[in-house]
Amino acid sequence: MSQYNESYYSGGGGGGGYIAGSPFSQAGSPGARQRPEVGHSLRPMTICQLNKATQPHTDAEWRIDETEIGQAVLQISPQATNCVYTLDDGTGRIEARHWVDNASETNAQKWAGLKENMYVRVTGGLKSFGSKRYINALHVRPVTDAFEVFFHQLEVITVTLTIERGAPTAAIQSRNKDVVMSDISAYSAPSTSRPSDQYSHLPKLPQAICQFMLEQPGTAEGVHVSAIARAVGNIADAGKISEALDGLMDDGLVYTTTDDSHFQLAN
Amino acid sequence: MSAMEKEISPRVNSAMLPNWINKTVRLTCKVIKFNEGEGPRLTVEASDGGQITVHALKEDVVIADPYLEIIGKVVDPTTIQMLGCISMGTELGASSSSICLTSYPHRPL
Repeated sequence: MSQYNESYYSGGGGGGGYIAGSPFSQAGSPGARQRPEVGHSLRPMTICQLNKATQPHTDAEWRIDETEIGQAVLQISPQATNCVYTLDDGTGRIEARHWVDNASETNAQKWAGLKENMYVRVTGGLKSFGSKRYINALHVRPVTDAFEVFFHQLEVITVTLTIERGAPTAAIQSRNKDVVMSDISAYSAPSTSRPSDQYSHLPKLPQAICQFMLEQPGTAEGVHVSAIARAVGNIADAGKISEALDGLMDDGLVYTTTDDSHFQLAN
Repeated sequence: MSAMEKEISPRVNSAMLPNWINKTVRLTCKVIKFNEGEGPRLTVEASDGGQITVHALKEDVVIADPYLEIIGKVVDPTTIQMLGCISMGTELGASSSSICLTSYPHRPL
């Protein structure tokens, strides 16, 4: 949706393969139809979150989303067809299973270096078998840098809050416009609320100008540029303001009305 | 929910130990001293600078790296009984005080 979200996810680290383009805005749709896209959204999680993941609104979504976790391998139980790891990251415990192919290259790669009492990064899908849930581990990799563990914790917090409250700029705008963000709303909630959100991709000054113009009574002759300058003058001088207005005109977001000093928003 | 809570081991620093007596915690720390004596015992420094004594379980707990994450049960505010430990490498360094993410019981994540 907003530029912030896309640039975050496409720039994120941790083993490539993000499919850009608002992975979370499709949260409302039943997963089956949208599986190819939603199924590839990768989200960092802690085990406690995984264990709690049967919130009614997100049930289907959490099954489909792939999950990326950093945990400590506590116990390894190799079996014939699959390998079961017990993972503990301090917030809970869960099993991760990965299915061992007969092909030897796959075995060697997946088994390489995994021992008990080490931190690993597990990427996989959340599944449940009866009442028990486990991770279908597609990829398990030992953590080489201790900082990765802490980074993961911070990333989990950031992503969870972003999903709950929207990206930072959208959150600030929503507060101005008294949008009620319900607690369980999916990320798509901001996009259905107010027209002001269409400006959230703009840099700060044009966004402030549009914001101010939105708040004015909608007259035919629009807003005089001196009123705009008074409103946003604390963040920019006159030259920058007129540049910003020109930029907005080029984008088709504002237009001049009675003369060159009056601007109106194109709604 | 309470069953889940038994399995959690939040990260702590030395100041938080009094809150977690008899519970399992994780401590990211730097090894200061390693006594093979009656123990073995480790003296470690937590991310807030406080020193803690760790009673290790086995003789063969030989950890080469200076930084460890010790999972253990809190015996008293300066002692932990180790249940397991994970090597955290050699580079946590001086910034370890800023990276100890401690979790709060009211909202376990």
